[in-house]
Amino acid sequence: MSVGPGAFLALAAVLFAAGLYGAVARRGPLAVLMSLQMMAIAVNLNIVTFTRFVTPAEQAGKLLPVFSLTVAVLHLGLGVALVSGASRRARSVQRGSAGPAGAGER
Amino acid sequence: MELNLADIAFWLLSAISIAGAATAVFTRDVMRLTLGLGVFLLSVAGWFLYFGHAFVAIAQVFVYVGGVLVLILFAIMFLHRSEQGLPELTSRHALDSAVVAVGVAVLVITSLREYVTGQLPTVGGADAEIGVSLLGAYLPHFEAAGVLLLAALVAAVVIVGGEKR
Repeated sequence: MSVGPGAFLALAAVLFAAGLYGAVARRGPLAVLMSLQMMAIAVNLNIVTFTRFVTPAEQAGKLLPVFSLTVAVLHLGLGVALVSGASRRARSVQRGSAGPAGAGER
Repeated sequence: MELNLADIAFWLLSAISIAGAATAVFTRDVMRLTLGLGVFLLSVAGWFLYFGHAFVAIAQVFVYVGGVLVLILFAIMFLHRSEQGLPELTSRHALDSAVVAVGVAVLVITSLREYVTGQLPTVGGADAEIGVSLLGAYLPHFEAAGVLLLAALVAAVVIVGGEKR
């Protein structure tokens, strides 16, 4: 493998930044959640890279991505639950509006 | 520079990852967004395979592609059905967000100059050892993750369905 760890870390940085862009620029809460997942996955990619290049013999390096993945998916599940719970009380949920957005439309 | 198979896999996976991520981030159509996310998630599973983490790759496909993507599709269909037409996904702060994201990318990449170098030893340990260590030395962590998942499941049920009628 002639590709060094820097390339992987740079790729993870680009993916993290793409997720950051989505998390900041998007309006829909589900799109924001997806972007946050993208950031978490970029971090996971970093974990795998460091496992490969720094401590390849450690067993913990293979388990850490599993736990990290579990927690990230758990956040997403709670986020989707919050969004759908909030959207039951208000017609539309939009970031940047404190109250139930669109409640006055009805 | 001569290309070997690992290099080709690296560049191919990079292109797929970045294309999927860019689609997921920049498109306005919600179905294309989900499709781009799916491509991105599958490419990340490819990355795990590239590093020899077959177990994590399978977990990625099962959890993310099989679970998360379906959950997101379900949520999109369910939540935006009563809206007029497609959900609103346009961005108000596109330029500011782009500046922030590019800044962070440049910051992280420039800080990578002094990255760790060295020879590449092979990754030790078969996937069967993961199961042994999950139920052995890492049993408390495993159980803690299980308790966390249960708590999150109960919380999700309470948040979504706990409303008194």
